Amino acid sequence: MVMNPHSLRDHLPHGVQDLFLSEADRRRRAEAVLRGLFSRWAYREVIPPTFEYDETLIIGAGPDLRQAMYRFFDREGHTLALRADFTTQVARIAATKLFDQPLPLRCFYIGSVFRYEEPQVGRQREFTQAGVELIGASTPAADAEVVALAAAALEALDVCDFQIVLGQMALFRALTADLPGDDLERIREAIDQRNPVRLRHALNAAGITGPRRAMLASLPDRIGGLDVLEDAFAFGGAVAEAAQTLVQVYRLLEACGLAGRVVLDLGEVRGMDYYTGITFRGISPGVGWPLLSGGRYDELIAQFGCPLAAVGFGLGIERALLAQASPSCFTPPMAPHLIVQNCDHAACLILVQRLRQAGYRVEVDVLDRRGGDLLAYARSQGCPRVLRCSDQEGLWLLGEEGGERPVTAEQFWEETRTWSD
Amino acid sequence: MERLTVALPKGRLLEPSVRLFQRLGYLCAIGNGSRQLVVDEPGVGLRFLLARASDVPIYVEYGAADLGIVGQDVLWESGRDVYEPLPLGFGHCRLVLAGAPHHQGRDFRLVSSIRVATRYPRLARAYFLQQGISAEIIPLTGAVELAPQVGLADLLVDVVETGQTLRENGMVELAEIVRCQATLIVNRVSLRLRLAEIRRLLAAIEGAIGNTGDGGSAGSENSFVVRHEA
Repeated sequence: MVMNPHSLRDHLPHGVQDLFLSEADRRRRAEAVLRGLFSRWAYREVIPPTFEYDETLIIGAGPDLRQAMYRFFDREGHTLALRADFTTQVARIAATKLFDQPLPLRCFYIGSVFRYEEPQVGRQREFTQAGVELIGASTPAADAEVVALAAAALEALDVCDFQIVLGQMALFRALTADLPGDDLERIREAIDQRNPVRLRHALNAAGITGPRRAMLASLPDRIGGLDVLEDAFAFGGAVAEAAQTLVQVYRLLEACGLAGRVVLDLGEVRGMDYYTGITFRGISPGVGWPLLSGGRYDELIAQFGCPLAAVGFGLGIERALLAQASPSCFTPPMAPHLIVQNCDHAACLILVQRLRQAGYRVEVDVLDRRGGDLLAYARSQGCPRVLRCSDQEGLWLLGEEGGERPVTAEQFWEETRTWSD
Repeated sequence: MERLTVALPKGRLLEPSVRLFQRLGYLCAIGNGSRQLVVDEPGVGLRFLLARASDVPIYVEYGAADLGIVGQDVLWESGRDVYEPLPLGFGHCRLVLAGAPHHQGRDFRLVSSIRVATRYPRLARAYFLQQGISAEIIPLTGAVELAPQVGLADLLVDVVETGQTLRENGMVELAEIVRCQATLIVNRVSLRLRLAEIRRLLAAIEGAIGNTGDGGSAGSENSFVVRHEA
């Protein structure tokens, strides 16, 4: 057995990981793909700090997220926290820095978030979130744009097999607006667990009867197309309005060609302390957790002193990559095109510089290796050719077959055109 | 499309679980004492895997199994984030606080701290918190009745079916914490992606158990299940 001489020094805290070689390439490629996509949808990047005052970051965060935050003190004794989510930071930026900019604001972000919780599939304690916030618009068109962008993000990441589960928190809120907090929470939790027995008891305890009871009791089973909304319009008022919004969003998504991707689910009632309108999640077979989640949150930014409607989503990049159809398509070729034998005269160094300017990956040997040794190293790096370049003898190419042949500068440049990416 | 995978718990719930699926025409070839861990009968719409009871919620949460059967005691203790759409009407038991007879009638709120042995540390903690009792929880993995007898703990929290084991160890029940039974659980992603198949299976199971699932227990006022944000 080969002992790893560094095994003790390799230890990392639970829940963080090193990315290197092709895994690092793959992650950066995914980020680049999303950055490109968000830009083409006219979203601008925001880069908030990694830590802020705890009292700022907990605004809008549910109890679970608050509990999961890494906290520490600065030298003045202020409590700081690592961000566990980007949305609160974007809300703060929108309300305090961008409040007088023309609306709507379209922001995106990509970066690490930190949560002190047990690592899950594709989610360590530090993981990478990418997402968007569309601020200052409360129209169905804004909702649909963000959902469609979420679907486009999964497609751009080469996740072929996915569904978007679309819910409507406003509907549940409207149905339960008059209930005291305890009753409401019991009902919400039973629906969230799809537990019909617990739901029945919760509805009994709250003394809910009639059509409203029938509607609430059936929410866990209302998964499917627009038919799940059938009888919601009869309620009139805010319930019908919420249903109408969902219909409009669904129709717009249909028009985007997403009908086959979207499933309505009225039993989606998670994150109630935060979401005020539509909610959605991206799911894929084989990954037991959502790849992305989002929704409308019209009350959060007001907590920073500026009432602005907003809708957005956040996507876990590591988790989404688990659902990629062909993972290798995100690991671009990184092997050098050419390795150049150690050489200190100007002509050779200029040649290397030109090759690099032309976009080729060129490595110069710094260990003074010759012939077979250097060729063996080149093979280990996946590089098919070695160049020797000397003042007296001109250019020599050492090929895959082990042979060595002289080339003129013109021949050499001609050959570079056949080099693949 | 791949077949739905169902995780079944080894132990006391295995036999009634197997019988339930046999009534639906599955698992007919499985013998008692089978050591097979995956039952993949060709030509049948379901694949089964046998897991340790406490692991069933994990298989289902991760999506390695689409559905599972597990006791609510084990499920709630696990805190795993799964749907529980159908209580199954068997495997009834109660989670209770128990101890030597001299503890009867004591108000534990007035005790600065009591030591409690349990296989259910999470549910026990939630219960004491709710009752305003300061307790030091000693997590054990079995034979919890032993702990009070040798002075390791004052009380115990455990599930009872008949109360026989408690009596044999000179212990009495001091309070009922929650009633439990076997329940079907479903992975959150599978429910949406395999909705039609899962609905058919749920309906078949509901028919087979004849709507006996409502023992009133799952509606307990105590809600110990910690939810997760995605």
